[in-house]
Amino acid sequence: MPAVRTAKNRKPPPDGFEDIEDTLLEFQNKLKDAENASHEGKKKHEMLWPVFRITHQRSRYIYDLYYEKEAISKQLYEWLLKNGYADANLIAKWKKQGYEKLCCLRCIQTKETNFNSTCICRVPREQLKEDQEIQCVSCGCRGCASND
Amino acid sequence: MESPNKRLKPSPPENMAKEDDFVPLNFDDEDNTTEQYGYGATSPSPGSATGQGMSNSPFNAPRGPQATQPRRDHRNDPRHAKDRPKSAHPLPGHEPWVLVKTKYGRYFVHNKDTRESLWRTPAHLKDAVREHEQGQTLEAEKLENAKWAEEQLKAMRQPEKAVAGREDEGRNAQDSHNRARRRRSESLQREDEEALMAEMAAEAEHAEEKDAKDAVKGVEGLQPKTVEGGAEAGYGSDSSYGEVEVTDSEFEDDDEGGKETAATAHMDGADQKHEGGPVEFGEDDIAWQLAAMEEDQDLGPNQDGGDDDDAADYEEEYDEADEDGASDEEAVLLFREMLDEHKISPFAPWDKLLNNEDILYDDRYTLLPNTRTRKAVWEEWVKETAARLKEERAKAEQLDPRIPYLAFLAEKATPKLYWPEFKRKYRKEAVMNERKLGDKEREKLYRDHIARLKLPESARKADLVNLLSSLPPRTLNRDTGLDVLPNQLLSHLHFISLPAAARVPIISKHISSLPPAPTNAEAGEIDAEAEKKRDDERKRREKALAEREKKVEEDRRKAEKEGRWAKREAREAEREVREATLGVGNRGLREQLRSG
Repeated sequence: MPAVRTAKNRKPPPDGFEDIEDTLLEFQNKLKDAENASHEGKKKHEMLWPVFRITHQRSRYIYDLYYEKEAISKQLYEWLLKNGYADANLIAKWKKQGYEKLCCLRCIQTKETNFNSTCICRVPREQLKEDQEIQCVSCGCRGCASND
Repeated sequence: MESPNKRLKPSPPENMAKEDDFVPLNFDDEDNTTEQYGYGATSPSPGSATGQGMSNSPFNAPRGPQATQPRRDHRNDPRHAKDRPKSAHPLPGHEPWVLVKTKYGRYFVHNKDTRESLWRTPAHLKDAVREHEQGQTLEAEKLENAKWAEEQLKAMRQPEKAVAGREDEGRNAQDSHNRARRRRSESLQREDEEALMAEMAAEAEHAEEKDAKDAVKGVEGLQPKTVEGGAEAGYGSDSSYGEVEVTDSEFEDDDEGGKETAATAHMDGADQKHEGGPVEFGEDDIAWQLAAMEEDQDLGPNQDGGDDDDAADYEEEYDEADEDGASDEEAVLLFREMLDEHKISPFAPWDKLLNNEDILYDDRYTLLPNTRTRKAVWEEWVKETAARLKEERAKAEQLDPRIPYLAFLAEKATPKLYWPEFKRKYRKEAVMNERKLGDKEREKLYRDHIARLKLPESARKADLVNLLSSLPPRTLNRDTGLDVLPNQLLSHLHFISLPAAARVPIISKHISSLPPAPTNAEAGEIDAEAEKKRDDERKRREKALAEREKKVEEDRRKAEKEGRWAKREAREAEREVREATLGVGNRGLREQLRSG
């Protein structure tokens, strides 16, 4: 039988985790609130939007800390990815040109759409009609083209 | 003259209900996450469920009662887009208040301390504002006079012919000017009357509204001024406004059906200032201001998200104007200083900073022109602070996690409790959840400690003395204080085996029997030894390096030599071939055979 891993007997996180622990906890609480929020008066997909938004924010936070500010160590960054604090696939996309602000991976999944195209939120604002307000179905994004 | 009732109301009646029109520009918009690219500033707060599709405007204009009303599109007006606070004039006697003039000649008052801005001048400031404006008028008149004199002088200097030619022209211009002026004054007068009527009507309609009285007062206060303003407008003086309340007169004029000629329409904004009643600025105006601000920042709301400091930006624009002070570098330095002072964690996200009210109301926050620069400075600061922290931590001595745990054990552990019981009892304690130590180690230490507590006291004492004598004189000597015992001692189980009462005399006795700390000479000796060792090491490395270089050089020379040999051989071979071919000549085979 495999050993039971609890919070107590787990390996400690790498150094520097204490610095970002509070912020991560805040994100966790927000996520929990979003999960428990009432669905009344919401569209079918709308329940998931806050979840997408918060995970995006959290991933972005960790991404910025490691790549932009260089404030956390590589070990800690990898540990965070491994423990699901950030979405590694999403971050991988952010490193690519044209995807710097990508909201979620679903929005660039062309095979899942009727016309084999990306989500409307990937369309640059100047190509949309004047005053056209969009909010995509998959994650509630209002536009994440790189030049917006 | 058309009936005054036809005229559009100068301000929507609902607006009258709001005593002071938009006061501070800071809205409590909670969900100002910076980097939520896809999820722009329009996304509602995480808690609010209904907010999702509510507001699509890029900024969060205050939701006044006016919000539902059909509005004129002021935002598209180029004038609005460009209007900016231009100069601030202190009002003597009302210290924190300043009168701010915008680029297009509109006025509002601003309190530097509370940071509130009012289009409508509060009653207690009216006198000061009027004084200021009278001073302005005088100055303007002086200027005008000087200009006129100069023109006259110039005209006199012109040759007669030119004057004759120009006179007609001048007369025509004068005429048209006069006419325009007359027309303008008429229209102004008419408008004043209309405005008054409109005010009255509005007031009658909304008599039950709570500040109807104020409106009446405003109208009454205006009455004598109207006359004065109308009369003054006749002079065409540039600053012929009676009261400093801003009236959005231009649009009213437009609404009247463009009655005013182009000449008047394009006059300076100040020229058109006249009494339109206490017209309040509604949401539109705030909206265009915000829009202008955002243009200023050159940011989409999605990228920035820092909408709630638009207010601060706005304040700042004239803050800077009257300070004239801090250069960019200084501003940056001050901003960083502020970040340091507020103990901002470099690991906190940007929106956390924006939610920090202390910072938003700090004067240094407004030194930088917009949120984008602020963010850039903040990022730089974060980078440097994080790097510095990392360095400091690397330098700082690592505290053994066992020390606090052992201190805790010394206090709480008893042989009466098994480990699981002990663990359960103190599971909330911070030491029991310390990640660095690990549960297994904690358990082991506990069990060992309990086992040792069961030993006779003499044995434990002997162990402690052994431990003490095992420590080197550098760490433990006669000068060591009882409260700065070395870590090797503190992190040892034998140290806590005795209760503090029994332990302290033993330790102090032992310490007093020790020799003093090794002197500098001894320490120096050790240092010298280490130095020598290092020196040897270095020499060895240098030698190795030299040898390697020598070898490389030799190889190089050998290769060169071989190259030369090869070349020489090649040359020789070539020569042989050449000789052979030269020897043959072109005399033919027969000749050769004969000679051969």
